[in-house]
Amino acid sequence: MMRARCLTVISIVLCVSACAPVLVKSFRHPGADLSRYRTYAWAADAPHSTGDARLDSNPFVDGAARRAINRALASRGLEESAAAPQLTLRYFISITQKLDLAGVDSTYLTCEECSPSVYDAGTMVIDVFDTDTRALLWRGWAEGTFDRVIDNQRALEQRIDEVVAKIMARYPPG
Amino acid sequence: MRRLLQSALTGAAALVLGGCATMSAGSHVEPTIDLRTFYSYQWGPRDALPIADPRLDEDPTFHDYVQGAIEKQLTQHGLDFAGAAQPDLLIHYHATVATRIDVTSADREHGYCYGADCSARVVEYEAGTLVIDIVDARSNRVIWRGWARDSVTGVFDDRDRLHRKIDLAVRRIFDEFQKTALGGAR
Repeated sequence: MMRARCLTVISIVLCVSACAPVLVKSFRHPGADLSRYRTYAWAADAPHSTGDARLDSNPFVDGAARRAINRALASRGLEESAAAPQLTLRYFISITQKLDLAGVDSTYLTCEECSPSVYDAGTMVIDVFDTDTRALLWRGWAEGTFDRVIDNQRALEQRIDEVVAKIMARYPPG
Repeated sequence: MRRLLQSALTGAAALVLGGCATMSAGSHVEPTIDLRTFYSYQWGPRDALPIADPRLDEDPTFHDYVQGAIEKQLTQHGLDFAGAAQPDLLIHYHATVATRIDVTSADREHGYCYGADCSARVVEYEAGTLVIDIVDARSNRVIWRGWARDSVTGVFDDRDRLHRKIDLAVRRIFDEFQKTALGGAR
């Protein structure tokens, strides 16, 4: 019985994970003409806390994120160039726990047959700088659930691919 | 019958984790490297990052116990301590404690209810995460990372309980190592 209850709760969480939308936004510096840039490089590594010990300084996540971003930029005609990069890139992933008040009356905060749950919410930010002026030209970010995927490498990499594709879809065409 | 969820969200949270909160474990691996070709290990530089819990920070007995539990599992998985010789692998671990919340209705299974309708309850607990990194000593690259996470609420007050929790976490991490790095069942 206990096991059945646990499975029910887990099912709810999985449904929340699968159904939760990814919120994507971007910002372009006024006047920035991104079409004139052709080459880029990654910013020097600066360790940052993701808010989740599983992901801090995680080379597998870093590799997956960079591969996905590199693919998106290549499809726009941008080339990675360590020698003379016109653009400098960096990205961040941040994980925080959030509460999903599924079924809770949002006006009166009452719960009748509601199924609230907690999940790991992730925010991924991609920044593009002008290498020479160091000005932030473009920032894209996505917020969505990373619940139940971090423990599974393949699922996490798929999630990163999906999130990067959605963010980079907002990058101006070359 | 209706219940105000607001009180559960903003009121004093229960310090008991519900029945569904069990230990979770996972791992990430460098797929191009065959970890079965590595035979010896040495400890890497000790973590400079804080555990974020004053009860364990700079506690040598905690670190000794974790290290001992890891060494036992490394031996069981065919890896020998290199001593003064050049090791194939460097081992590194990091432990953190953070406050998390959970939503549970599972306590009703034990005959407890928080409201007349036994509905969901938000509880706060301390989550401990133990991360073990295995580094290729030649390239100094992390080639495998495994972790376990579980509630540690009340665990630090009882050393035997803490040790049992560490043993289980390390065992679960090395189950992952067996599965994702060594190719399955022993």
